[in-house]
Amino acid sequence: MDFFSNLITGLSVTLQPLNLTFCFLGVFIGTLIGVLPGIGPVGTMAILLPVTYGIPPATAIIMLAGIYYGAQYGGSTTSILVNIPGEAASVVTCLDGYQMARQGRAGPALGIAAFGSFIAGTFGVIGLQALAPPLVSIALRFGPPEYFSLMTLGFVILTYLAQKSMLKALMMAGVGILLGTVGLDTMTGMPRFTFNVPDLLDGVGLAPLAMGLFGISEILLNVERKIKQDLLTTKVKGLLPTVQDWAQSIWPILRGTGVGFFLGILPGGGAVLGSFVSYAVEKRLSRYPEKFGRGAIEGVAAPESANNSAAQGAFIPLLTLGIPANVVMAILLGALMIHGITPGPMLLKEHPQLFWGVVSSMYLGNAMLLVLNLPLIGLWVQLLRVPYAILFPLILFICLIGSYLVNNSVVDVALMLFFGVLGYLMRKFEYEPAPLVLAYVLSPMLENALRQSLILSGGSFVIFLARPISSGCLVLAAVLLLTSALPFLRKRREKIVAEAEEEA
Amino acid sequence: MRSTKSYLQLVSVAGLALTLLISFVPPAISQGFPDKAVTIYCGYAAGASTDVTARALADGAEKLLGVPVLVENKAGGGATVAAALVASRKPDGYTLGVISTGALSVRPHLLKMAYNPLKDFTVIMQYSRYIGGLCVLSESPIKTIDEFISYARAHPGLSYGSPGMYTQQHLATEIFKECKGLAFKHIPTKGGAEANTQLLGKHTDFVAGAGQHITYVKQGVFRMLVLYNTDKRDPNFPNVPTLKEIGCGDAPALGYIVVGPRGIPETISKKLGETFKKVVEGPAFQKVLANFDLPYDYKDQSQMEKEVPMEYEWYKTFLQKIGVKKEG
Repeated sequence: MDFFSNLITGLSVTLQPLNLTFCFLGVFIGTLIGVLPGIGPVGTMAILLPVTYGIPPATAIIMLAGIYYGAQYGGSTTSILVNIPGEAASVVTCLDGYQMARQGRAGPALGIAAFGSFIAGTFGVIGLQALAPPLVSIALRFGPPEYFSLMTLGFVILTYLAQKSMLKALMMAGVGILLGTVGLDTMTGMPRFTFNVPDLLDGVGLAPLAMGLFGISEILLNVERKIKQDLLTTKVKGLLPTVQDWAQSIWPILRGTGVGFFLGILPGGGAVLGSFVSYAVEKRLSRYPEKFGRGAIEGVAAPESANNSAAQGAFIPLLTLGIPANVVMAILLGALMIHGITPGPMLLKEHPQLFWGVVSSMYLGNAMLLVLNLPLIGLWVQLLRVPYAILFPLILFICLIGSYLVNNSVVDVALMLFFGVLGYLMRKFEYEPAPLVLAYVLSPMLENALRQSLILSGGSFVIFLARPISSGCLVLAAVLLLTSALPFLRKRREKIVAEAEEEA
Repeated sequence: MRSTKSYLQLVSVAGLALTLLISFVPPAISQGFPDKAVTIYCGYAAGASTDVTARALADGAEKLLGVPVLVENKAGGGATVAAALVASRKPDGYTLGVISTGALSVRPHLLKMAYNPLKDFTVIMQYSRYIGGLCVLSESPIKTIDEFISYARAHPGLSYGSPGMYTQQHLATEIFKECKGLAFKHIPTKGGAEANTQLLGKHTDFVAGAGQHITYVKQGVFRMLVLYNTDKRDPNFPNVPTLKEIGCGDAPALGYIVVGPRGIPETISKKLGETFKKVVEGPAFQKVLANFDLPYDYKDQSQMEKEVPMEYEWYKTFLQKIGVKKEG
């Protein structure tokens, strides 16, 4: 009953014309910048922050929130169409989405991404509304040892991303780990691998890395081949997902929602992690894991749902405790404080209108986004018909600008180009970029968590096993590793037994 | 054909010559500064207290100067990236930065900077100070700093999170530790939010709060036991003593400052200083400070010219004393 009365309170705020307008504005802008590679919700919210000074706080938050989860809708567009992640959380969508586009199935890919995002976003808001307090208390129980164990689990899951050679995938993960160390080390305050370049003090940016490894390399690869623009000739097979697509996708969507939501709540977790993990989970659970990486619709449905529910989940620590779960939430925190509203445990009590208004605006925002994105699919697919001679330079141009806009830094542009060339070489020699990116995201968190935990425990490793959540994650990681190794071990045993029998 | 070609050649040579000539003409020092947009590079990310106050400053300055005043975020390395950028620009008053004094007085002792912190900048003014405070959870039985000291003596090895290595809050805690003969485990984090979250989750015993802690104190979630980095008590919390009052030294608070490259003509820096002073004294800016619980601490250019070297020397001595070596 409480649930519905809160909903009504919220709707009474959201349905005011001003808030509706700004909600639409927010999600619309969000979609646009989600599509554009490089510039993401962080940069946009920064630019639009002054706009929010003159409007009431609820309206401001509604708009800014809309930009954030709206961007998660748009991010999949360029991932699917041209293998360029529009958003860091859409990197994984490139893997299967782009393959689907090349098979003439861009429409269903975009469609399932939109529907999945809507379902996940809506469930995410329901979760936010109904489960916020218990969930946040669970999230608070994640201290450094729990983060370490979770990241370890993440590394085990990373192995599921490998499509071809496991050895090469692990090598790339190693490179990713190294890349993650670049920058100012939190624990000593000293720079590592920055070569006196000030812009590297915060590390290699995820946006230039992802755009280079996936997008620029793709352009380089395509330019090398003489492609008959085969997408022109391949009939675009329908614009919406088929019934079969739905049947295959519904469970990935639901699972992705769950995974993404929970990872989004954890401070430091977020949409990127959620999308990778959900992809790996689907691949593991699928009866046809070989299809992943070749255009499996589950590989689009799951991560796209995960990153949307993660976006909703990220609001929970902010709205309930005033803890920003990621950089975007930190901006929202600032926006609230500008309006003299202190986020924290008292937010709900002191400003219920704001709280429920923002929450219910997310329902509407998600619905608006679905209505916005579906008709656009036809438009986006037409984009593929643009001759490559025009399309590629245009994409390159947008990427160059996008990578600069991330932090107003030329170093980022140079890094993107470097990773573009590296990605090109990697793909020629069949080294996969996805494990690199995931390892790069996980490694700083894992390392910091490890060192913080060891300080807390005075150097003892027992701390990881002494705490229930931490040991739970580690046990799960061990189980997953073993079950992956089992078939391999079994074959070895069979081989040894067979050889022994031969000799006998 | 030939005549067209030679005509084109003539035009392009003339054009090139003209361009070269123009670039050598010294820029006329316009009597009216400013006559184009001013860019302020903010050394921290959007939404952070430095960013919000910088934007409020820009907003007010725009109205007084009559030209657009744009804020661009250039976060990284504790504002050193922005500082390096500003130091490398022309000292014409059109490129400024809002950074922490830490970029000038602390960071250069830790690693090699692309700038000379004492020589490469014109510090136009300071408008506020970063704050700090030691907090425990309000549900803890420890109610005063004296109780805390007794408890810490009885239980050596209490853990605390700080917003980062060598931040003013970390160093203040270290000074406190040395002063009272205590032993702590220091958990450096990526920022105040992470440190606060760890305390909320009871993974640490107390926190060296870096600003956001005030929100939790006001809402009754944290209890602040002693103030860091200040000589004066906070009027909002009259019962909380400062480190100096309990008999210890303190790390000087870093300031929110507006800087430009070295060599800004005095007329321009004076005009900027006066403009910014009017803005920060105004009610709109004061409201922003109040919302972020920041103290108003205005210092003008001449005061900062003494302040920055003093801070620089203090941190140099202190960091050397605790054995920190410069990298690079």
